[in-house]
Amino acid sequence: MKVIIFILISVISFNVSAMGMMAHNAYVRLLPPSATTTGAFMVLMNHGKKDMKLLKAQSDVAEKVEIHNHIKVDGMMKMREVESILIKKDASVEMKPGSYHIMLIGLKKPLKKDQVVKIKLLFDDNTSIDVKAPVKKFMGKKGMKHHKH
Amino acid sequence: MMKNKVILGILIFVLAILGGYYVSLKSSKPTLSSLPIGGDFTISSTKSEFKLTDYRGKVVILYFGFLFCPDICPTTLSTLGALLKQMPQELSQKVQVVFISVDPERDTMKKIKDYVEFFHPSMIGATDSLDKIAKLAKKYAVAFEKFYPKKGEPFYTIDHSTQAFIIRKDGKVGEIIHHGESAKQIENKITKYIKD
Repeated sequence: MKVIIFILISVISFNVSAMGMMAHNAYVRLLPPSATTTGAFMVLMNHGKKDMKLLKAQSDVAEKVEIHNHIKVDGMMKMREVESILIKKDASVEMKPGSYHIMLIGLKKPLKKDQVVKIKLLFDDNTSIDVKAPVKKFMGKKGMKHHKH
Repeated sequence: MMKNKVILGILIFVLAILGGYYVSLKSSKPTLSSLPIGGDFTISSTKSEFKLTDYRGKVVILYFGFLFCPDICPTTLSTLGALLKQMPQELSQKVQVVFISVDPERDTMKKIKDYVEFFHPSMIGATDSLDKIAKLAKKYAVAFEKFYPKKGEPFYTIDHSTQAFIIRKDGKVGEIIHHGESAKQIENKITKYIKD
């Protein structure tokens, strides 16, 4: 039964790797053209057989793509690049505002609402997934849908 | 005569202790000790010069950030935009959101204008010389610091405090808005200052 469900999910969702890593609710934050950097957010679920690490992200829309996190020190928010994000077997990691996110640095062209941004995620077992993240206007905390696991 | 001096001495001693106790009691209240001094200021802005004294009778929400900030600043500004949209108009008219860029090297006034008006057309953006902003930030106990992630590369980001300030109708800091508060939470906080 589990296998059938897994196959079904694999067929339905295009954000899936052969190894069982899935990306849900991916989106890129729409910002005005004067902002040349933005963030991509999503939930990564590891349905594979072992723990996996996200090592890199790639996208054609920006000059540079990095994986970042926020650390709060003495009331100051420090944004730092991280080497990897560990996604344990049968667990998920939410990349969300104020936490882990994919930084799209130096956008080549301003992004438009509903435009789909392709982001390739590369993992430590040499697999990758292609995530399609639509560009959405983030409506502050009120309008945000929380994804619970 | 000597006796009087002794009594006076004891009296001063007791008063000093009581006074010290009172001050320590007062400063232990978090709402008093955690608010910055704040104060009036004038700064170049997207709508000519912004003078805080011109906003007596309005509640000002003051926030420091920068355009490069991909996450924290737009989250706060989106929330403040949502706040202005969801409040009854007669109340939102009495609120002025002011965003001060701490990155005048990269953020031109035109860019700042496009940026803030994206979140809400009524928002005012501002920036000035780095020296002036640093002095102003200090008054509001806001810290910011450049960070170069890769040595030798000119690209930088800015570590910064994430709180915004509710400035009362009399120009004094009323309350702090912490990062992550929802529009509804902020509305609950701010309404009493508008109706004050």
